Amino acid sequence: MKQLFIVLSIFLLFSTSYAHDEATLTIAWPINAGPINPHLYNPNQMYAQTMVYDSLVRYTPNGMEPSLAESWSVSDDGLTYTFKIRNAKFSDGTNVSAEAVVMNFNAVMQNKERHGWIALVSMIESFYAEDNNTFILKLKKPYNLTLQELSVARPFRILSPSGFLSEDTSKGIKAPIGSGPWKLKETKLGEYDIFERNDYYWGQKPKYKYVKVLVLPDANSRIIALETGKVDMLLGEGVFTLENYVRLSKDKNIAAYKSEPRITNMIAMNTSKDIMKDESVRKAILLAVNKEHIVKYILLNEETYAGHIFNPSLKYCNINEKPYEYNLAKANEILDKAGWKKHGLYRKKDGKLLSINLHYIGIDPKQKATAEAVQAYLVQAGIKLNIIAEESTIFYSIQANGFFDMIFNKTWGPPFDSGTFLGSMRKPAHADFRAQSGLAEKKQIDSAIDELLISDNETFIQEKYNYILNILHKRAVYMPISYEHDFALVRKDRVKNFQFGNMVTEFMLHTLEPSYD
Amino acid sequence: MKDKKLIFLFIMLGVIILSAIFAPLITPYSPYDIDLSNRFASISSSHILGTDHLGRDVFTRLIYGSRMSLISVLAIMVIILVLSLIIGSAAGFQGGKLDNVLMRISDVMLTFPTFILALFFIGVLGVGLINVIIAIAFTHLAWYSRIVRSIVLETKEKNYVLASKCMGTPKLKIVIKHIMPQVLSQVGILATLDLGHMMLHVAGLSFLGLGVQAPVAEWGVMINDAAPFIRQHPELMIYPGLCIFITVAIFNSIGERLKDRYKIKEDRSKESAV
Amino acid sequence: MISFIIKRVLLIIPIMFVVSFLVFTILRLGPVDPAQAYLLNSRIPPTEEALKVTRAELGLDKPFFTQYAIWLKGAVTLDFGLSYMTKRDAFGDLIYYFPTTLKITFLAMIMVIIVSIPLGILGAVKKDSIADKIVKLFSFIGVSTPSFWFGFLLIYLFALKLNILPPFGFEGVSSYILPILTLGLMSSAINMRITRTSFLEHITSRSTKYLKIQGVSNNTIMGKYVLKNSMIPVVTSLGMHFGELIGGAVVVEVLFALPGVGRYVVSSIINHDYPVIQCFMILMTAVFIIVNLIIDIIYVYLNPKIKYGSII
Repeated sequence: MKQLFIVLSIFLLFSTSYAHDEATLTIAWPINAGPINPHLYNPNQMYAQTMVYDSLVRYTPNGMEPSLAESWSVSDDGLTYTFKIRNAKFSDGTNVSAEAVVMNFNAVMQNKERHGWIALVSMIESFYAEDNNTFILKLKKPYNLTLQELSVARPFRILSPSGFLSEDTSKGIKAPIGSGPWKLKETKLGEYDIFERNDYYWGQKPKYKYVKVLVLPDANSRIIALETGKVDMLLGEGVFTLENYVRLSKDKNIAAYKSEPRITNMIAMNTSKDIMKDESVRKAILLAVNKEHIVKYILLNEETYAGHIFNPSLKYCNINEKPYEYNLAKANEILDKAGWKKHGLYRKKDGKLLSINLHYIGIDPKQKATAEAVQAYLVQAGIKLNIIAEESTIFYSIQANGFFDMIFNKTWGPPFDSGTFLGSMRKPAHADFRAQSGLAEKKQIDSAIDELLISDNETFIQEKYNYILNILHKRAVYMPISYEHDFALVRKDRVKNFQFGNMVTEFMLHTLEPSYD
Repeated sequence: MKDKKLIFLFIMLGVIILSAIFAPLITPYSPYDIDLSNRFASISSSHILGTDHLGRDVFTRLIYGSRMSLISVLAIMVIILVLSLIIGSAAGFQGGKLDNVLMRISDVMLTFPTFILALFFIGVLGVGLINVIIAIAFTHLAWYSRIVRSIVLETKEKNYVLASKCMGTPKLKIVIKHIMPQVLSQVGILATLDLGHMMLHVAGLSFLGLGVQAPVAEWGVMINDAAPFIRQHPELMIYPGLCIFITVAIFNSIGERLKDRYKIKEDRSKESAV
Repeated sequence: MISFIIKRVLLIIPIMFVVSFLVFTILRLGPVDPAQAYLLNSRIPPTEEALKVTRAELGLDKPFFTQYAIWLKGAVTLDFGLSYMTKRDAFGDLIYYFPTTLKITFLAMIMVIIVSIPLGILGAVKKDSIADKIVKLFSFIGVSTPSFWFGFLLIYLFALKLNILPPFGFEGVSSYILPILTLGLMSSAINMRITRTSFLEHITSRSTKYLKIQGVSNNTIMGKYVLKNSMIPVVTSLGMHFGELIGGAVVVEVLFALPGVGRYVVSSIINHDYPVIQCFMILMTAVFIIVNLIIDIIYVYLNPKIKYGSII
């Protein structure tokens, strides 16, 4: 028995050191990277899109930085953007040119509808290549967020002309060939994706030769994979639970990282739907839930309490309104006054039960736990909350068609917050539009957003922000819960030099180095 | 005639029933009192079995949970007794075409296992405790109707029934006077044997999310709630399971003893089925 | 014997026909409007207009028997319509998940046979010994334990504490062990009791005593007479338990996150996904009829005294 054990452990030692060729970084993700089409959404994974493709410019918290465009200028009227394209190569060795950029913009603009959430798409008047390395973008109106929206993970990223199947990439691409630090090497469905260093990359070259992304759909198995050394690090939204983050941050082999808060995690309430039209119900819901306790005990204080839909530290977003504070007695009082009377456990009005649905993504443990807590709080106010676990694609289609009473909702983090996110509130395919559509002031809100996005007057913008955020707060449209951070767990013995990307979906794997500790 | 074990079992059952009825007197908490600052509290004088993942008192939820289980099996039992009495008597007395149709339908129902059939009925009726009760009652109905029918057929030929028939007593009266006592005693005892089984079905369906819905305290729901925390807090899952186990075991033992005592054949319906 | 089997096989057709009609009718008697269910699953708000369009689309505006005829026509060619939820072929989806369900059901059945028959016989042969008492205790615990709870206990013990078996999902053969133990517990317990009772009855029966007086050796009596005869009720019970096991498999698949029909069917029940529910019931009926047929054949083999006709 003992001998067997020794043999086994030698074998294990040998096999692990063999499997971890120092040049390969192994991480885990719930699903495959998808076809990695730069201009499309699910199932294309954003982390992969940012690994393989470049945008014209890069977002950083301190302002925009050059990327495929090594420099740019804006005309005085704010309508013409001139980008100087870098002398770079795609991963197949072909040259990046202004013509290639035009091809990509063409492909994006052929699917304007699909990209409606990004306001820039509707602002673009025309674009063309002035010469081999000059790209001109003309707008209908000046737009403040032009550069930010060009920098996001999709759709304005540049695919090599050799990767095009036809002009219209929404029908598919030939191959994911970009100019980013990595190129796709191999995909095995349900098992892994392997990326290889792009030796033509114009920037700082990755230290690792390969990145292997294991497909592990189950959160538990991802954590076990990290603990047993099957993967070198875990990062990304929802990849591990907060409980495991707290537990493993005490592990001496593991470095735990936490970013600044970036995204607001909230619940949207549908002001246009049945019972939810009743503002007193919405207010009572906000008062009946002890969010401080949810943040402290369910989110383990690893996320920051949110009083408003945007973090007040964001520009223009610090409005003078006190968050709704937990006050069960007041919640009950409001409901009594509004005619919702208790019959047994729950309230009724004109024979109608105070019963509300809250949809959440079934496999998201944080949403599930939060939903359960909200349900338990609301029963104390006599509100029957049905919590419904949804498969994620269904979840997003519910958000889009407004078929919800309450639904989890998130802002998009930098660089979208707050401008682009506000912009999307005007689009019917968004939970926010649906949630707000019952408000008498919805038209005014939308036109205020229209105006602030093209204004260059700071005071005017601030005024509009105050107006919008005040109404959304007063009318009790959202239940902000927390400002989320990004988390990462890294095996110290394998990897060093970890840093968070500037956007939630950017992994910065090219900056990582193998550790020989 | 003294059966100490049986008396003991009835006392145990009585304790469970009384605690379900007087739940608010036994525990100072409500099963819905949430206190996130006191999640997963361990056993203490204020929370004698600790608290769950939302800081609710586990003991309180167990006590209130017994209500759900007991009420549902009681309701199932009543539905079965009433409906099987009607269907079985109709088939037995009427005979002929009606009997034939009813028995063929029950043939079809008996080919399905009760759980699959219950799933089907919930698919028809929708999710929820009341529908689960109806579904489980329906799935057992074929079986019990057959038993009633065979009792009717047997009793029908007995002299005193024939006599009262000759005297022109209406059928309904015969059913109430002669058939019902028989049915209640025999079927009642057989049903006791099934109570445990039914209770397991109710808990299983609630566990699948088809029966009692959270946040209502029910043992199957409590096991489901505790599942994500099984690694750190296995006791949260063990308590409600033990409650189901003990209650089912009591029902099963009582049923066994009564059956042995009154020498009731369990497979009587099969005799008449052939 | 052969004519018996042929007769039984031919009987499958009318039974399937009746079941399909009952299933179809009962589903339509329910309180939920299929058009509404369809819209709910497509996440389209059920306005009057949308309902009207959907009714026409799904053919719900046609007379009842026409609807049934159309459905039956499809069902005969294994076309049960598209799932409201996934918009995929309902039969294709179920058949995709079905092998896993059948596999764990059959494996659990084998476990039930291996565990319950020898232990039941042991209990009968060594009546009132310690072994018998343990057998009785086991069967008592088995029939009173909620299977899903037992599954969690197994997960806790073998996967989380001892770390020797995978807790959830499918990672090779070892993933089957806990689900099968969970699934087989109750049926093993019940069957063990039946085996024990039946065996006891035959050991003490008059004909056994007669054979003994005749000088037939004990082994022959046990092997040829008692064993064979006492298996008759056991076989009947096993046949019934196959159905219970398939029902239990639904729970076990949800519990252990196995890719069987269980999770799919539970969510279609919650969502009133009628095409799937109908297809599931028909599929189940087919399985039960076939299993019952096999059981009856074994039954006849064990007990040639009964006439083939009498158990039809």
